[in-house]
Amino acid sequence: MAVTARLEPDALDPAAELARFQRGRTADGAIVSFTGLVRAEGGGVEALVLDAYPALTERSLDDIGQAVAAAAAAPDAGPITDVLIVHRTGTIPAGDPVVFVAVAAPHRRAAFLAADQLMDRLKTEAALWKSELTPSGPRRIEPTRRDHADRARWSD
Amino acid sequence: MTRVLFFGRPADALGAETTLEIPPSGLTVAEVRATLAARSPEHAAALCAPDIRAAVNVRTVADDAHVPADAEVAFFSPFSGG
Repeated sequence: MAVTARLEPDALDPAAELARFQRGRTADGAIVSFTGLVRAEGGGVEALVLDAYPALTERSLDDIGQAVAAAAAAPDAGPITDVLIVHRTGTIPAGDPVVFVAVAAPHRRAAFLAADQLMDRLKTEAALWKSELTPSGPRRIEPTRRDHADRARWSD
Repeated sequence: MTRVLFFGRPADALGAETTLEIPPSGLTVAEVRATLAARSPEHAAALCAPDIRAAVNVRTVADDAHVPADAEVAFFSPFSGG
């Protein structure tokens, strides 16, 4: 089981990441992926700015991947083979991808659950600091009550 | 001189980094925080909120952790990724 987690300071290409992740797999029957995009909020958000503390941030992504791959997400879900997390940093315009996760597993239940859990954990445990660039200036963004509730769905 | 980095709300108020003189015997995180907070009311407001945590040599630590004189220290507000 391998976790690959990396920061991407330039453009993130989900289609290319997925194609690379899929290549050569013969033992896995399932790949589930998720792409997070920057929402424009009707023009209220021009871009996201994501700041990283590189070694801390990369380790936090890897820790999340390892925790999700090891977790028994559901009793009969089965194992995970590989996890990929790619997270943008820097200034990301509305409409662009900011995060991509993919999970490969022999069977789909584990892959669906793991992708869901990866995103719920990334929201509060990825060592990144987020601001929105708006027409009236930058706005610091921190996790919402919903983000914390989503994280609490998954017992450790 | 010890390098101190800021991320999130502390960086909004104080910029990306500063330096600090730490004695050879080191300090606790709480003492580093208090020393920086004493620089100005803006420093105190930015660093003394209860949700501002610290890292020493790129590892998140509690307030009683030891900060060696040559460490890299960071103060940051809650993570927000995804």
